[in-house]
Amino acid sequence: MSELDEFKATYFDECSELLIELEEQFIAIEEGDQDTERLNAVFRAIHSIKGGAGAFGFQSLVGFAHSFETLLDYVRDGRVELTEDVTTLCIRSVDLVADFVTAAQEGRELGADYGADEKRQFDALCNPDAADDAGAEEEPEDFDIDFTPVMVSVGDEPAEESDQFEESPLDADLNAALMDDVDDSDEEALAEEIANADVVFEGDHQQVEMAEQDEEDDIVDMAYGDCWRVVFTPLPALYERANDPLLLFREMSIIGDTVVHADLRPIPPLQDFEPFQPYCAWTIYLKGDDVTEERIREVFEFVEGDCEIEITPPGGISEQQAAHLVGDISASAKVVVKPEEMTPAVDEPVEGGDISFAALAGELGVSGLGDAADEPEAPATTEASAPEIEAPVEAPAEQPSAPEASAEVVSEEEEAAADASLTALLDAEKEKAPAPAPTPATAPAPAAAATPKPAAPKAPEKAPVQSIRVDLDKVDRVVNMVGELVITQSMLTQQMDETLREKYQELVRGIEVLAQTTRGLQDSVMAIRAQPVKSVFSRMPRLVRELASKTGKKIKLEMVGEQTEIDKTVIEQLSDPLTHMIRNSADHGVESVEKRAALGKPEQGTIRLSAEQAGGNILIIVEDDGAGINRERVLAIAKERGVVPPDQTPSDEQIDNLIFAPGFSTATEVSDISGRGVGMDVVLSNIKKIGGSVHVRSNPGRGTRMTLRLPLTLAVLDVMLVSVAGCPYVVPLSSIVETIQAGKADFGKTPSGARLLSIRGEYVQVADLATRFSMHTTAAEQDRFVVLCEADGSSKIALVVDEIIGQQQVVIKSLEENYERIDGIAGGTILGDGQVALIVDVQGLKGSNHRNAA
Amino acid sequence: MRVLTVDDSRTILAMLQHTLAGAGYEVLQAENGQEGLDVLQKEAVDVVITDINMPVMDGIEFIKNVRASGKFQSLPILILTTETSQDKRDQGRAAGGTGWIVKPFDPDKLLSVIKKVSH
Repeated sequence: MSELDEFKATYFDECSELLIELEEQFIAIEEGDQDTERLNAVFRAIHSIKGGAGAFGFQSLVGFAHSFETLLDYVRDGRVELTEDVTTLCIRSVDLVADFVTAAQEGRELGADYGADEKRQFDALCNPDAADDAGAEEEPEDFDIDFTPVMVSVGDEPAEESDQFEESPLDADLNAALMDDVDDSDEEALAEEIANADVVFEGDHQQVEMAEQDEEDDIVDMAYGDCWRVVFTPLPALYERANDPLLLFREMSIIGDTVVHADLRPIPPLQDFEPFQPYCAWTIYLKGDDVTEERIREVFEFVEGDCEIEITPPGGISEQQAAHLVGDISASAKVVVKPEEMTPAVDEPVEGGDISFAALAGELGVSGLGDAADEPEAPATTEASAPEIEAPVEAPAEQPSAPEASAEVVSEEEEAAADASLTALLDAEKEKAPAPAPTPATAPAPAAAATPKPAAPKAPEKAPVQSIRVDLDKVDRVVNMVGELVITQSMLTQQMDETLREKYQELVRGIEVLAQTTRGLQDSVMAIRAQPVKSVFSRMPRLVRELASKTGKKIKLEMVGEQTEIDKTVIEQLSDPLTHMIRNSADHGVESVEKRAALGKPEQGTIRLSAEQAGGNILIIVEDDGAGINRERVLAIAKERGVVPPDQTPSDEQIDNLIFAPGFSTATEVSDISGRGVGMDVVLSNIKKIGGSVHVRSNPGRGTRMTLRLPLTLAVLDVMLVSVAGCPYVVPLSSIVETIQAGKADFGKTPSGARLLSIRGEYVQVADLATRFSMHTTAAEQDRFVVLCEADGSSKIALVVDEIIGQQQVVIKSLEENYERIDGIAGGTILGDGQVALIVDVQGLKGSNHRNAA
Repeated sequence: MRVLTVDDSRTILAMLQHTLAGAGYEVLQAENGQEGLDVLQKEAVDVVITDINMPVMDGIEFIKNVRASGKFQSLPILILTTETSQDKRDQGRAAGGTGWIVKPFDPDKLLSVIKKVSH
């Protein structure tokens, strides 16, 4: 399987889960539970389906899901009211999504107009604003419209700024302290250097060469004149979102050669320094053949709104302006950095710089510094590039140390802010660490407030249940081995006779504990395979709703015991029979509104679907308050079709259960709901296949009750162990009604010679297992036993056996797989003592007897 | 370089894992915001990629929580979203999202965006 196929498999897996969830949620919504979390859940589900579909290019699915999702989005924030019609549309659309998913899975395309109707309805519902929104959604790049560039002046009034620096003795001290190797004691010049520290990035494409002599002129003439100019002033929000100017510069240097000027003058004296304020602004000159405004905008895509930005194309500024922008050229420092050299530098602070400065800051008793964890981002940037800068710099002769010096001043000053806070002030400031929040003025309208959706309240079933996915084969292997263990354990128990019990009490106790543990282990393993019937039940409300709308009846579905758990395989086999049973109830059971009114019944009919555990079985009951089975008609049809011999008069119960007879249908006109009589006999055969049984009880005029009796699990069977001619046989306990001593039973014969047992006035067919399996028994007739079994929903069969040994659990082994199919035998099992016992196929015996009798 | 991916869709997680691991990133996964927070408490992470629409704790809430912790103020968080609409994106950004990736993502684009925001 290729990787893509694997992803697809994961996706389709996920889709089927999401579709089930969608259905559940919508049913709850339809029942009036319009909880916000439900609406969020359906939105998320469609959203996820769309997301994956997009990844695999399932365009029609994406298209449909997108419109659906838009509607759901409108619904959840209240722009579209969730009326009954909208809910119905949604439920239908879930089906369509399922169709799209299936089509995608099978590599088919549905017709172009598939779901077009629903799509139109979505659009119509969302309409008033839909047109506008769609426009906005389709063109995310189109931000020119609401983007107002803000002119940022760089290099203005440098004198004033320097004055500010001058006024701060602390700053001066710091600067002096930091720059041991700088002999420049002129604070004013120093300040200007700080203010005009420049960094030049050298792109891959082209080198912006800088001569030692006249380099400023070069930049002005060559670089600035035909460069793109980007004036970039970050707002606090930029840092709050962990964006980093350095990374933006790095990105810029990929599209062209860049020269970056940092305007550091707004940085206030240390005592006024607000760590969360972005003080620096930058002017980036960008040169390259491929530079376009769009590409520049792309670089700033993530910080749009979090900064002020002004882009001027080449030639957009005059040389004078350029010169002005550069400021006092003699005082500024220019450095060349290759972009690739910047990257690693970030992680490593300037060696020594931070330490010494931290100490210094501490000594100076720096105050007013908050937790600068965030703010230093930008300065750290500059700082980080500083050491790199030193290497490639072609140190201008006149001012050899100035570039490094000014760069370092900046860096270390900022570093100080960080370090001082981190080391000296960390504890004290911790509480007020969260940003002093200068609200981002240009930040996009906080749409978050418009759609409040607290994440905390959630549906209880969504509580984080930890789960793992395990291959079913692996589980089955464990189930099998536990089965074997159970057998071994029961074998051990059986061999404990009285002498042993007295002799080895410890051993016996150990075996008793083993028995208990084994049983516990078995239950736990079975529980792994067990699933709540809810997964099948949850499909029924929709079915009932559809049936109701098709027939024009009013039907309410009540469900009870959805949490009852059954083996996964049983559950999988349950869907079809249950669907048929519900259909039958809705179609044939519940009467039309008029008829019900005439009968004085409530207009709305009720179908009750329940599941409960009864011993080793699960009972699933479908009950309606409809007309009940029309026995006259059933019998007439049965006789007409030869299902029942013309001269027989079956009991009411037998008539009721005739509806499960193959090829039987009572609908005079075949309806498109219950089909052509392939319904109920399918129910029976499906249920029999999984070791269950069906039983109907009808109360004319009052309703019908159909009971499915299902085994808890398919792997282990509760049986009664009997013996016939010295051989052990097992009869599934679920089919046994009662046992009778044969000598006391009332046998008779039909004219054709078949044996019958008369029990409480009812004649039951007899199958003598010894005769049936061609064995010779020496047991006297009066010592033998009759095991009365219920073959299927309707008829009974009396098995005659030699001895009844007892009840136990057995692990079913397939006879077909290990030997071959034998009529009347459902499988084999290994008993505790190692003997092989055959499992009697009660239904099969009944069938063959039936044929014999007929 | 470790990337934490947070998405309730197994498909998306698998695809992210594939793309990222293929490019040499170490990938951590979480199925919702709460799980994402749990991972961040235990593991060092360089970049976070998160979906918006998730159960238990959605992406917006997750980002807010991450940012509220002083420890992660400079952790790049990319919002993974199919919506190209401005308001979704802005919700994510308002919460503190660094950037975004539009689903369905092109693997190269995904990698370039991660590079763009990571140190």
